[in-house]
Order: sequence, then structure tokens, then C-alpha cells
Amino acid sequence: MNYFRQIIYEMKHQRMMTWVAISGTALSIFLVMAFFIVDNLSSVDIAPESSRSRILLGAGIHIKEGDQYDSSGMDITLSFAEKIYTGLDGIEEISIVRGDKAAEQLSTAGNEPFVADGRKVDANYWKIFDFKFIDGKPFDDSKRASSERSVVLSRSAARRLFNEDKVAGRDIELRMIPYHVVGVVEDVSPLLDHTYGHFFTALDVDQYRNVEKDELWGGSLSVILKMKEGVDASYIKKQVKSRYDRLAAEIKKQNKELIYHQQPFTTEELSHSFGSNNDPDMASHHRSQWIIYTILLLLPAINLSSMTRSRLRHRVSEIGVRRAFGAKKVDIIGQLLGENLLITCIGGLIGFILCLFFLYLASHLFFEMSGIFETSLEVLNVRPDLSMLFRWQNFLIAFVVCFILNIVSATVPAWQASRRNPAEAISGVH
Amino acid sequence: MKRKLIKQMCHEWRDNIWLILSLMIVFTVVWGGLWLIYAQVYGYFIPRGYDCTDVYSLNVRIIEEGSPYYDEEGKDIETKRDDFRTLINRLKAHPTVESVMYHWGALPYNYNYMGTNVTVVDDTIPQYYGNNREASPEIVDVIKLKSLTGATSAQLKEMLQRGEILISNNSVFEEKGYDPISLKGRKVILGSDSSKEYRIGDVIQNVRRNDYEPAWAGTIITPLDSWWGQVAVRVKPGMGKKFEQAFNDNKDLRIQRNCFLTELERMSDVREANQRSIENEIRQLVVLVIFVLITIFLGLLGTFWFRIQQRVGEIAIRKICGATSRNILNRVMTEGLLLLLIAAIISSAIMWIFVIPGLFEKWGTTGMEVRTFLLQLGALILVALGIVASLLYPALRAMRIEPALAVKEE
Repeated sequence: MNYFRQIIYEMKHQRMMTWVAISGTALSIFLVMAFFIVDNLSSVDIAPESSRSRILLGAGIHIKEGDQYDSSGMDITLSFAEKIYTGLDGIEEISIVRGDKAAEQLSTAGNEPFVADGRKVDANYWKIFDFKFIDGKPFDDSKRASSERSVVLSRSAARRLFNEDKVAGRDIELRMIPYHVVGVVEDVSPLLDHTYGHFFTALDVDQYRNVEKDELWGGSLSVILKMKEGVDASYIKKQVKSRYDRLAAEIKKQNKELIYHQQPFTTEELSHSFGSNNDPDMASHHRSQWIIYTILLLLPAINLSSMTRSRLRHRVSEIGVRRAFGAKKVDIIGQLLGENLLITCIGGLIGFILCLFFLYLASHLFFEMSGIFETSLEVLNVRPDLSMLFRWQNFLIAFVVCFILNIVSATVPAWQASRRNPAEAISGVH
Repeated sequence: MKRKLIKQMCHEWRDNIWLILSLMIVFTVVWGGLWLIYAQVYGYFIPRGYDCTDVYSLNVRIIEEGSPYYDEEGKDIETKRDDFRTLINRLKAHPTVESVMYHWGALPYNYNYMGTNVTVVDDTIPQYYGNNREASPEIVDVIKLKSLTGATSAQLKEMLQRGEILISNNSVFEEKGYDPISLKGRKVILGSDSSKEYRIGDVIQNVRRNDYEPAWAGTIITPLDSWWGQVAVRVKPGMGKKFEQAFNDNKDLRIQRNCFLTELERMSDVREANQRSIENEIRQLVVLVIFVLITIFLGLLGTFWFRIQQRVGEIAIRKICGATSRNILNRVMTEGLLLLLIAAIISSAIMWIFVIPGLFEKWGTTGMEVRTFLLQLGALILVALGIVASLLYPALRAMRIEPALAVKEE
């Protein structure tokens, strides 16, 4: 209790110092946490992508033909998808989907159309992701759903079309073709790459089988894989690599070189756009993140340390008296670190709260969350939901960061202060 | 005074080492931040050969069999082309519209790149390389292409109508010692297709993929010879809202038999989306530079605050011995700026010896350029301003010390 009383007295007595230390810490925690939270948004488990660490995406093909052509693309053919990704060990579910969402014209008969983002997915897609159905249900047979022109709408698309949510059983026009609504799902944040969309139609793989002329080129698909519990992505990548090697050996006879780029990709890898002709370079990304964290922590730590040294000079006599009355060095260090930790935590809490507000209101103006090839302003302007930001892990990390800042900035001055000879300290000799 | 100041700074070397270390990091980060901001913003000030104000983009789609709107008469390809032409002509005739073009990925603000070599027929001069944009002749009016030889837009349009191509200035080509304007009128082939020869009609200002992209290669405008493609509309100034309304209300502007126009987008929105990642990075760098400046501001403010408190007696004695308030202010400021100078010299030496040669080698230059030094000087000035701002309050406090009272307290 005495500690607290003394700290409060110190804070009142040295208002300028308190203000400087708290605002410096707040600023540091604000920026460290902003970078950390945004960087981790791509791996946050949130419905309908509740098991993102188990999701992999099979996409991308890169082929060199002699020295003349070097072509690559993210979308793959059905034949390639089946050859490389079906029947892998350690996979719980596999879903074949159209490569990316596409903007299409939606309307109800005779009414003004609007353009919305849609996905084409097979029936397994609904088993991989836990969409919340407000009305109706997903299609369980892709072929039948495709021929019957079934569509699942998002809540916002249903409202825009019919001014209500429960519209399963009604008809809409998609690209001016009638479609039958079989279900309505809760809206999904555009930050969730695999599941954001306003409508979902059925993908019948046989249609692709009949249309594709080339085994490798002209594809428009990708594969979503859900790993079994406890399976590591590297185990799946290893299997895929060996299949790539086999296929590469086959097409080498045609003077073509198939290049493997660490497929299938984890959600974290996908969140850092790397294109279809490069390997995802997470090591380089992590390195630059660590440089940013180090600068953001080290600089305030050095400054706080310098200030703490100056502050402790004023308390030399007090420390001398404590030592003379039997306080051990470790007690002095403990007290000074404790005092500093309290100030750091107050600053850290202010910084963390400001950081959450900032990310909620303006993160889209500072951070890239949808990839550089995203062209929809609606998607680019999206900000994380509060449920994505208010996570106990983030509070824990913020506290750990405060603790590190405290240790780095106060240990040396506290240790130096504790080493002073009590007699010299009391007499005020510096 | 200077000697005494340096002696005093040496006496407080433990505190000063921390400050110098901190200033070294601040100086290096501000310098690096200014470099990265400069590298991103540099392209923005290169002249642009396009203007997408008041321009809208549209896509053409087909009504498929099975739709209640499907028209059996419009199923063959020629009819579809005719229907597309009808829609283009209707748009052109609308009172809000100034010009309409159709194209394949020819508008700026998209990352598609159709890299194409231009080879001059019967000559050995190096190939000209650029992004090939296929469009109808109206591209000249819609995105306001600019001739580098003084040709009017009507003349540029005529060239494209005659089947000639336009090329732009091209820094890579120019570095090889050739002027693209010298190619005007020459016969060329595009890519490896030698079956068709084109004549270069004129040289225009480069059409880059966005406002920030440095012009590292040229642009080729090739006339699109078939009636089909994406559509871009330039509306008359201030008529954007009316056009949007008319397009949504008037079915005739959107649909002709099995052909329909959709996905109306303002190019200002497309630009914003396309450049968002670059602008975000610039904002992040600006925030980082401001952060380190604020940090050093707070750090120096706190440290010198205590220093002045400790030196009350010393300052009072100085005043008694005749030092003016200005002398006291100068002393505090000089101390801070001297610390910065030492930090800047050490970190510059480290950067120039160990970091910059490797960094610039990767970018293909030595780094010994005026702009490198200017950016370094800019960083020094910024940090110096931060120091002056942070020391002002403690210095003013020192100036206000009453000598008699301070000495009495001592």
C-alpha cells in the first residue's frame, strides 16, 4: 500500500515527468499493438472461418517454356486441381470453388439491378465453413443445385432485393437469369477472404470437365482444403510438392517447366500478396515486422530509461536512507521496477484503448487488409469488427509489451541506484 | 563557453550516451523514412499522359439462353457486335456524354500489363518495350492523351482511325541513347507477329498504371479493330450524377437484345481503390517518422527537465556572474543540438560505410547523388526542429530562475 501511496505522491509531485512517461508509453503501445493486431487479423478464428489455422488454399500455376515464355496465374483447371489436391492424406474436407469472387448484376424481376460480389462453390464448401443460416439451408448436391439454379444470399443482399431477411423459396435474377433462393446467411466481413460474398451459386465440376481444353491453362478454379485436427500444413505441402514433381517430370517432355511455389497456401501466407510467380516469403515479412516492433519499443525504452536515471538522481537520499535502514538491493530494484511498471501499465492501457478505437475507425486508411489486387472500394473501406479487435489475446500481448518496455527501460537505472553506497547517497554525492 | 559546455557534457557522459544512442536511432529512422516516402511519392510528380476526371467504366455482358430476356434473333456474333455498336452510339448521343470508347484493359488504374516489344522494320535500333493498350480511337478524348510533338487530339484520333499506333516517351529506351520521337513515321511490328506491320503515328506522354508508378517503360496505344470490349465514358464536366441517374433509369442505354452494359464505376473510385495500398504505405511511413520525432521530443523534454532542476544553483550563479537569459537559452539549445550532431555523424558514418553501398547496389546506383544528401539534410533539420521544440520549455524554465532565491535555497 505504501508503494502505491509513494507512486501517487511521485506522480503528483513530478507532473511533467508523469505526463511525459505516460504519453511516451501510450504512443509506443498504441503503434506496436496496431501493427500486431492488423498483422494477426488474417489468422483470427471468426465465424464462418472458425478454423482458419486448418484451412489451406490450393491455387496458382507457374510454367516456363524454354526461355521464351514465363506464364503464371492464380486460377487452376479442374484437371490440375484433381491431379494435385484430391486424395491427400490428412485432409478432412476438400472443396472446389471458382478462383475468386466476381461482381455480377442482381435484381428482382423488372426492378432496378445492382452489382454485388458473388462466389461459385460446391456443396462441400458449406461443410468447411460454419455460416449462420438465417433462413433456408445450403445446397447439398452441387450438380442438382447448379441445374436448378439455386442461390444462397447474404442478409444484406436479401434486404436490398426484398426488404426482408427470410426470402428462401423466392426468385431473383442473376445476370438477368432467374435463380431460386434456397437460403440466406448472416453477412460476412470482407476481411474474411474465403467466405465474404453477397451471393453463392453452385459449381458443377462436370461443366468444367467438358469445357476445359488444356490440362494446365485456362482454369478458373481453386481448391479449399480443411486439414484434420493436429495435422501440420508442412505435411500437406510435402505431399503436394511430390505430386508437383511427378507432373513436372511428365510435362518436361513438352519442354515445359512446372514451378512449385509452396502450395497449398495457409491463410496467413495468403494475406500477404506475393503473386502467382513467387514463393510466399513469410520470413522476410516477419523480419520487417520485428524491425518495426524493435524500433517502436527500443526508442521509447531508451528515452524512458534516460528519464528514469534523471528521476532517480532526485531520490538518491531516499534510497540511501532505505538502504541504511536495512533494505536489500533487490528490494530497491523491485520497488523501482514496480513503480515504473505501474506508470508503464497506465500508459499502456491508454495506448491500447486508443489503438482499438483507431483500428475500429480508421485502420483502412493505414493498413492493407484486402490485398493489393482488390479493386472494390467497398471491400477496401471495410474495418475490422469489434469482435475481431476485442480479444483476450490482444490484452495479454499488450500487457507483455508493457512488461518488456518496463524491464528494458527501468532495470539498468534501478540496478545502478541500488548499488549506491548508503553513506554517499544520504550525503547527496553524485 | 563552448569548452566549458563540452566539459560539462563529458561529465554527464552516462546520461548523454543514452541520449546519443536514442538520437542515432531517431536520425536513422527519420532518414530512412524520408527515403521511403520519397521513393513512393517520386512518381506522383512525373507528368501524366492521362486524365480520368469525369470518366466512368462499364463492362459488357451477354444475356444467356435460359433467361426470359434472351432474344433468339440476337444469338450470332455479328448481331452481338451490332448490338454493342448500337449501345455505344446511344451513349454517345446522350446529352450528358462527351465521348465514349471501347477497349481491352486500356484504362489507367489497373495492374494488368501487356508487355509488348516494338521492333522497327529494316533497322537494327533496339526494341522499344511498353504496355500495349488496345482501344478505339476515342481513347484520345476519353482519357485525354497528350501529344509530345504538338499534334491535336483530332489528329491523334485520325492516326488511330487510319490504323496507326501511338507510342509514349520511355525512360529505358531513352537511356539507351534513342529518342522515341525519332521513331515517328517508322514501320514496326508488335511482338513476334511479323505478318502485320504498323506505322507509328505520334509520340504521346506516358500512360502509367497509376499516379505513383515510376515510368520505367513506355505505352503503346493500338487501335482495336473489332466492335467489342470494355467501355469507358467521359461525361461533360459536372454531369456525372445526371449520367448515373440516366444510365440506371434508361434501359435503352443499358440493354440491346442480348447485349447489356453493367458494373458502372466512377474512375475516381477505381483510382482510389487502385492506389489505396500505396497511399496507406505513405501514411504509415509518415506516422512512423512523426512517432520517432514525438518520442525524441518527449525523451529530451523529460531528461532536460530534470537536468535543469539539477542545475538550478549553477544557472543562478551564471546569472549572478552576468549571464543573460538569452545566454542560458543558447546554452541549453546548444547542448541538445551538439548531441544531435554527434549522433548524426556516427550514424551517417555507419550508414555510408555499411548500409548504403549494399542498398543502392541492389537498386542499381551508387547512392552518391544530390538527393541522398538532401534527404539526409532534411532528416537532420527535422530532428533538430524536434530538439528545439522539446528543449524550449525546459530552457524557458531555466531562463526564469531567480538567482537570489535559487542561491538562497542552495
